[in-house]
Amino acid sequence: MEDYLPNEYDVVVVGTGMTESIVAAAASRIGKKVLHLDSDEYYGGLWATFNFDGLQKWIEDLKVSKSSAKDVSEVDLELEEKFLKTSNEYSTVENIEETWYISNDADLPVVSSKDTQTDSTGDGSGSGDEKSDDDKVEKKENVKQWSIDRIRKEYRKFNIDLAPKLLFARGELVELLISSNIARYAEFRAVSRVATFMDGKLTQVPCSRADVFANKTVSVVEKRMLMQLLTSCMEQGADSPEFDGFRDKTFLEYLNTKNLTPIVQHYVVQAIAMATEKTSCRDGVNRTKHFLNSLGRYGNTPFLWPMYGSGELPQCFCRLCAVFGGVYCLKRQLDGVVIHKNKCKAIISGKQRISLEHLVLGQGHLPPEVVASEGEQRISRGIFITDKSIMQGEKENLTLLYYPPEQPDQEPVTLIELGPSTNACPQGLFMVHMTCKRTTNAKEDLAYVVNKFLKAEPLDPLAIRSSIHSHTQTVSPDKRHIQEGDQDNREESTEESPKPQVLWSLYLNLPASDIKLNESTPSNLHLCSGPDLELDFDFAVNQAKSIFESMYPDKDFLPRAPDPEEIVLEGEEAPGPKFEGDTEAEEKQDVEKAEKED
Amino acid sequence: MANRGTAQRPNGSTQGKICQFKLVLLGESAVGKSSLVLRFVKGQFHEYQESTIGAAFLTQTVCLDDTTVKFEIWDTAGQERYHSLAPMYYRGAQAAIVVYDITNQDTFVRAQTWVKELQRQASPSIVIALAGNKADLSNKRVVEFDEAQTYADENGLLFMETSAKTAMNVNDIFLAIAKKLPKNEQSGSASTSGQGRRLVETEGQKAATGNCCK
Repeated sequence: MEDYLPNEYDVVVVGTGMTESIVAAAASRIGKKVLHLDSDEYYGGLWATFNFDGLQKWIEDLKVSKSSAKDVSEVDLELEEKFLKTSNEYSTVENIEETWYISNDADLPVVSSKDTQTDSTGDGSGSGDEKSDDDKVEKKENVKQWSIDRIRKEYRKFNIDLAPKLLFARGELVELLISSNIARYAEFRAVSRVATFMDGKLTQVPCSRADVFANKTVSVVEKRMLMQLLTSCMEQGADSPEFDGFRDKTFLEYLNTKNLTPIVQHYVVQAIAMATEKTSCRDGVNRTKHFLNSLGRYGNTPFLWPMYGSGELPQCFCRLCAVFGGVYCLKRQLDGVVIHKNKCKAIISGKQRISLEHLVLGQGHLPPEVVASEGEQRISRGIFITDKSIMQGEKENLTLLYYPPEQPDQEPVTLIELGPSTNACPQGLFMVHMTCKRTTNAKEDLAYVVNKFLKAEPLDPLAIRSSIHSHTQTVSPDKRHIQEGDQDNREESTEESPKPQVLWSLYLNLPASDIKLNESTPSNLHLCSGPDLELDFDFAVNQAKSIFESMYPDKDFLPRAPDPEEIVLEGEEAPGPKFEGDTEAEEKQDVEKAEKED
Repeated sequence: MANRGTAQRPNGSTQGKICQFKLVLLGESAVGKSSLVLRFVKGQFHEYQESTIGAAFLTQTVCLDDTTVKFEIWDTAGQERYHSLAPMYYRGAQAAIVVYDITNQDTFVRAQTWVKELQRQASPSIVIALAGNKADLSNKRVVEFDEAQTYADENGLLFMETSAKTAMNVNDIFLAIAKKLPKNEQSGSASTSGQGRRLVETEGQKAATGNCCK
């Protein structure tokens, strides 16, 4: 039996994706009465982050088609009202392919101390670790190999993103989190390195001025060249006369006139602007500027990653919405919308008719009648649990890699590699996310990058044992650093390091993020798009802002919420008229409270 | 903004270490979660209390010998009402108070569900306290003290009956939690609970308002 909800609101938001959640928070913050629903039992929709168990359940649920909305005939309509059934067809996830590359516990041979002896010789890269291995023999005997069972058992230590996104340190979302005081709800880690593939191997891109000057692969002349170029992008921007001749040319064409050396050009195009041959000069300059602008605020690179995954961020906005009185109800289906004279008047959910001033819909809840174009920007995703970093370093890294297409029919791929300190995975493992624009299906689109950086073949149990000794999942954290450091030095001298072994992978295609509504759409119905292709959240923030502005043009967008110390209790002299157990009254008072703060 | 920080300043002498902990409140609607917090943080009680007050969380400090324990107390903001509490609520929480109403058997049953939920969602090392609130209404009692005590013992929970109205055991339950929390280096200096970084205004801007993080 569904819960009975109060049935009159200023704003009803359906779907708890990023854009929806920001709009919900913004409306609640200015004192509007908000109802926020989601048909799923988790927050985030296609922006969600799951633990391993939750992800398995999500995959299972996709196989079972969701019960379709109720029949129109069941809905009581008043005169001149029209009922539009909503559909989940615009949030369809396709081509799901999950693969294990490891075995179950029962199929694995027992590891004993004897194996330690034989294996260290069998593994070409293991020699540097022997000393510490000997110290640790006793420990190793207790260490289990990674098996399907073990990953399932440690499901809670995984946080797996459907739509992983970074934040530019001075991007729209960081500024919004800070200015609204929602930043208090979340924690972040700085991306510790931006990598690029150059001369047949991965290298770290020097991001800061200090990095640039400390870099040994770039000559002094090149450093000056680079700084000069970056300065002109940064200080003058795309409108400066510097770029006048390149209004309709590509970024690459502009750079070609600057006599940059190949290395410098590579850094600028592939790592800083993350541009392709087709990127316009204007876009290239703006992207370069965006990157440079965000440097030096937090950490080594311009990027931040939310702890526990991107799916935390919609929840932060939802909490703010709730703190200011928004009502939350998950696992609650939207059946359809009631239209009257080109206005959206109410929604039908379960047995209830809920009236509203504004309806904000995630793209998974649109009535097909209002959709003009289903969009083209579809996304291919690959998620991989691996046994080591694509580029091992002295410490755990959070890595961003932009990999440009090798062939004309390929799309550039963004790769984000997360380690245990982000809570993406347990100690000893890494989580690799790949994202690109869809051309065929996720597996085919990403294959060229997967093959380049990962070993995605079934692992035979003998190989597991040898790899355990060369890698780091088995030793205590304090020794790990030393060991990884050793490996790093060794690899620098021997160039080729073995690729990370994939233990598990998931491919999927997310729906288009550029659905367009037609002109007959009621003006108080607002569409929130699903995750887009861009690296950051700017698209969602800007969409939320423009939706809010169209709803409440004269109101502030998410003004700063008070700190705990600033909370003044009301009603000390005159107690409020309502008893604390009265749930509807609570909401009302919250709203009043919010208004007082404005 | 006038009465900023009246009750929560530790008394001048802060020679010992300061530990900060995130504490989450759980329990059904109307069992008195917010009232417990307001009694503890502001020393106030109102029969007709608002359940949430536009605050992300409130803070209060407790002094234990040479240690100052600063609680960052998170209230559900009503998201528990339709079983829609977000997982982010539990992130990095080192302590939880699960509240029920001694005059309502159903809230006690639900409290046990909340304990299970904590065991599923929260950190394995979380310190959980069970609070049987509205102990001042003992003439309407339906949940026996012994029943709750037995349940708490079996599940390794701290347990007290409390009254936000009379202040009975309110400070005590927070104090008991403070005593049980591990006060090592990590918890001591961290401005964050989950080892990540919190975003604050950049230095120049910070001075005026910043206080969410030091």
